[in-house]
Amino acid sequence: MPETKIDVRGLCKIFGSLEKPGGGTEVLQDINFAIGEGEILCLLGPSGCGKTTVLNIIAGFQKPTQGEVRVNGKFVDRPGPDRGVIFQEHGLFPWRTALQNILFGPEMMGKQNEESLALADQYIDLIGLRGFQNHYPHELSGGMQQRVSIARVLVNRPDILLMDEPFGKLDAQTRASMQVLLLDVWEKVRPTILFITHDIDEAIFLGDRIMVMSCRPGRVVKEIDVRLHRPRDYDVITAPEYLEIKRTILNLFKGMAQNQLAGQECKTFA
Amino acid sequence: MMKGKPLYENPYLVYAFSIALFFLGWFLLASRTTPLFFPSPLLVLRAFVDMIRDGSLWGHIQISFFRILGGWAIGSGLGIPLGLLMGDSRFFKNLLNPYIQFFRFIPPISFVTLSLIWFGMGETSKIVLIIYTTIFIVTVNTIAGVMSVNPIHEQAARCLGANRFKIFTRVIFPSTIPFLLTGMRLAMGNSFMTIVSAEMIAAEKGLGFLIFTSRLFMQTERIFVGIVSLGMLGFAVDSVFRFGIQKLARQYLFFFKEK
Repeated sequence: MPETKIDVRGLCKIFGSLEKPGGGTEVLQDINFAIGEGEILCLLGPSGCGKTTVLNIIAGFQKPTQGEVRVNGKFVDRPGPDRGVIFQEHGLFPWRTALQNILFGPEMMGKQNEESLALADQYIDLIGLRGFQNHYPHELSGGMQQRVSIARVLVNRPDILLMDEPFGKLDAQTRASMQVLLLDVWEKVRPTILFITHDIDEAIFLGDRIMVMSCRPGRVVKEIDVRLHRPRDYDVITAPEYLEIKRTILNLFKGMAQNQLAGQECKTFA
Repeated sequence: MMKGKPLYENPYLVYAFSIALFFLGWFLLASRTTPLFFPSPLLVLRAFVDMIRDGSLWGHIQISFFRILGGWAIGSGLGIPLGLLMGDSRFFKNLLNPYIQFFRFIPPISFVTLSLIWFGMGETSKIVLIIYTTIFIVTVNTIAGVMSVNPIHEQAARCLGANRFKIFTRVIFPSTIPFLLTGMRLAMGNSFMTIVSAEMIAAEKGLGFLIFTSRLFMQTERIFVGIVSLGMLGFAVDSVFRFGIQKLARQYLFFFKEK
């Protein structure tokens, strides 16, 4: 059993206040999970189910109403370079070139030296951006922008990557190649990854484990182990185990959709 | 002969056409009136040449330019930090906002007389008026810049290890650059309005003074010289400013191309 990197216990989040008139919205309800070192955990669920809120709390951007998050045994109360976040929007600084963006982290930590330059150079190769390092973000394609933001995080050598639908805005082909690239990077660097997505195939292709969430309040309805061999390539999507998992998840989603039609999706407290 | 685009799509030809049309209209209008009422372009040109020869025009331009540039630079130097402070700190915003919101509606011209009483006939009174003109526009634009910083940029910086100070200098400030530059450009335009009215009331030199005193001597063509000089000075200053931005701050303007 690998060492626990992220430990999430009894996480609840309510936006607004239950006491006030108009009430609050319960976004998360008793979320529990742990992620082991080097594991890729995919949090899968429909839009608006609170996946991003879970990530924001682990990243330290938001505080839970109840519950706690421990990373490497320490309570999370603020963002830090030990947890690299990759957003759906690339979040690159438009006034900096790709290389200058990658060097932002080392700069913030006072490491403006040859060593970080060499490291940045190494990651430029790793994510396949050689030749584009002096381009500004707006001169790069969506996929390339996201590669730069991955390198910008990796250069800080975080043990954890928190990825919030990072490929959600890319076209199907680019998305597929980014998934392969991510697994390739993961094989080489072995970070612990929390990957948020609403794409079933993406979750199965990437994850060691999948936590399926339901909507409002966001709850974990199922946890699925993905026992597909690694390193994975795209042929895996025809494997019987793959299809079995996909069927399970589709059935879950079908059930959720029926509940939604029955009007149970939103519990707003009056 | 090059084939391709029709003539009316060549910008330089259209500029030339537009200017030629303007002078034609001017000639026609002047030919039907007296020089005192509406001097012809040739008369104005002659006055222009005379005033360049005797050195007086250059003196007027120089002093007006000096006043504008000095007041504008000081006003921007005060307005930018003020806007950054007010944009970033709710306390300072609440503390200073009443003054900004009150004074920005009071045109600088209304302070011309007071400025004379308080700061005398010398350069100070004029420069203070230009500072007043500049500071509100630059401050309000800078605040708008701070307000529109992309929250993802701040979050990204925080989880890349930036502390509050670094976020301010490396994320918030660069994001506001397009806004404060816009503010500075607008302020420069307004400074021209202020300087002319200030020099009309109390000055011994300057383009505003030239326009005003020429009226006393019935030298209508000299009023035209003053007006044309103002236009050319404004165009020149703005061109230099834009050129400077393109050379020095180009990457910050990519901000607009992002989405």
